[in-house]
This record gives sequence, structure tokens and C-alpha cells, in this order.
Amino acid sequence: MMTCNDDLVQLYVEGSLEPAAATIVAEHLRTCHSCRRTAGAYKSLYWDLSHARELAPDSPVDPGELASLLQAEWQRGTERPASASTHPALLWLTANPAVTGSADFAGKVGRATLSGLAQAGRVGLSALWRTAKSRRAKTKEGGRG
Amino acid sequence: MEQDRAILELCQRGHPAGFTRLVDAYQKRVFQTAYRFLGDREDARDITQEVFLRTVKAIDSLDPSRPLWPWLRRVTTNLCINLAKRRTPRFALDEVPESALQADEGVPTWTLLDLQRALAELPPLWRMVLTLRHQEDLPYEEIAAVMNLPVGTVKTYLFRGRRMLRNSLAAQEA
Repeated sequence: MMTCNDDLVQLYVEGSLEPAAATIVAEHLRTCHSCRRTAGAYKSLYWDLSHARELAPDSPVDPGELASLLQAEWQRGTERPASASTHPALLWLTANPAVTGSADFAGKVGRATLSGLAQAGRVGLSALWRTAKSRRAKTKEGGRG
Repeated sequence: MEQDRAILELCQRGHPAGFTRLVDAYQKRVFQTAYRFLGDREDARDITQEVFLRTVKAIDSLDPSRPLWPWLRRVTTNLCINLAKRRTPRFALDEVPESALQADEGVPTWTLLDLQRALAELPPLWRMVLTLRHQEDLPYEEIAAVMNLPVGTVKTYLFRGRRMLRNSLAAQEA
């Protein structure tokens, strides 16, 4: 037989009790007028508490001002270099067609230089190969003579 | 969730749009939570600003794949607890007269304004626990984690807070 217990009534109304305990409280509520009234009061209170957020006033914070403050805080507090994508100099470089055109030109020059060097390398290697071959041939002839 | 990820990634790069979106998305919620904890508009405004400043200071340590609100709620709660402790160094369970916790058979016909007044009379920790439970729908364990309190203490504050509210609302009706 359960005696009146405010905490158990609160838990019952909240739905937090295990089924067996909830059955015992429900049985008590059927016979106890006082606890039944208490349970009714808590039910109203829970509902009102869940809607009490409507009572909070609107925020007096100016969103634009706060966002600027946060931006300044980020810049001051972290002392990190601006990221590559937002650095003004790089933004200018990537946005300026004259610069990107020059970059293309530089790329072409670079590619031409590389292929030129490779070709020169091939020619040079061939020449070295021919020189070495003729030296070997002369050595053989000298040996026979 | 995707919105949080975008906000955090922008903020971590220092992009102005990130801070604007962060404030737009959460400043009202942070303010109202602080207000419900403290019951004072000016205090809640100061706390709101401090919550966002601390968030920006910690921005690199925040994981964009996780929701932002639990972090903001935790910072808000901690700052409010600290402020309440500074304002009322001895706010504790024993500051509430036991008579306020006596059971009373009132008919529940109070208004939300009555409830607001009754909430304002609660010790700050009790009010915070009630807010986190009934307005944020947090389980006991999570409230305990957010407030750095044992679960048993959270339950005690919750039970006593509700009982005190019920009694003071019944008294207002009488």
C-alpha cells in the first residue's frame, strides 16, 4: 500500500516511472483525492513550463553589431594569416585577366623551355654517343695496327 | 545540422558571412535561454555577447560535423551559473524556507505571468534545472553533465523546484 509521495507523483505525471511503479502510483491516485489533485496541478505546471519560453522578451542584441564584433575578435584573437582564398592580394591576382594572361604566357614559356631542354638533351646525348662510338672504333683500329 | 556545418566552416576561415549566420541562427535562442535562467534582460544580453565571443575564441576546436546548440547551451549555462554565484554567493537549498515546500491543494488556474513571477523567486540553480528539463527536454543525465552536478542533485532541485512552484502558484490564487 503506497503512502502519499510528492516525488513519485511528479515522476508519474512526467512518465518517468517503470511500468510496475507506475501501476502502483496509478492505483494510489484512484483512491487518494489529495494526490489526484496534486497530479492535476503538476500536469498543468509541466505544460505551462514547456510553454514558458514564450514569456522571454525579444533579444535586444543588435545582430549586425554582434557579428562585426565577432569578426573583429576572430581577427584580433587568433592572429592568423588570412586564408589564401580571402587574401586581398590573391583575390586581385586571381580576378585580374591581365595577370592570369601573363600566367598563361609564363606557363607556355615554361613548357617550351622544358621541351627545348629535353630536345637539346636528346641531341646532346646522341652526339656524346656518336663521339664515344668513333673513339672505340679508332682504338680497335690502333690495336690491330 | 548542415546549417551548423556551413556556419562553423565559414567561421573557422574567418569569413564575415559565417559570423552573420551564426548570430542570426542562435542569438535569439541564447538570449532567451539566459533570460529564463537569470530573469534579467540586461544580464541576459551581456551573457549572450559573452557566449558568442567565447565561441569564436574556441572556433577552431569545434567539430563542424556536430550540432552547435549543445555547445552554446553549455557555455550559456556555465556563464549563468557563474554570474548567479557572483551575485548570490550563498544561494543554496537552505535559502528557501521549508514552508515554501509544504504541499498545498491549489486549483491550477494560474496564468503564465503568475508562473513567470514564481519562477523568478526560485534559487537560480533550481530555475536552470527546470528550464533545461521542461523547455530543452533534456534527460536528467544530460542536465547533470551540462551543469556539472550529480544526477541525484539534479533530481532534488527538480522535485523541490516544481513543488515550490506549485505551492507559490496556489498561494497566488488564494
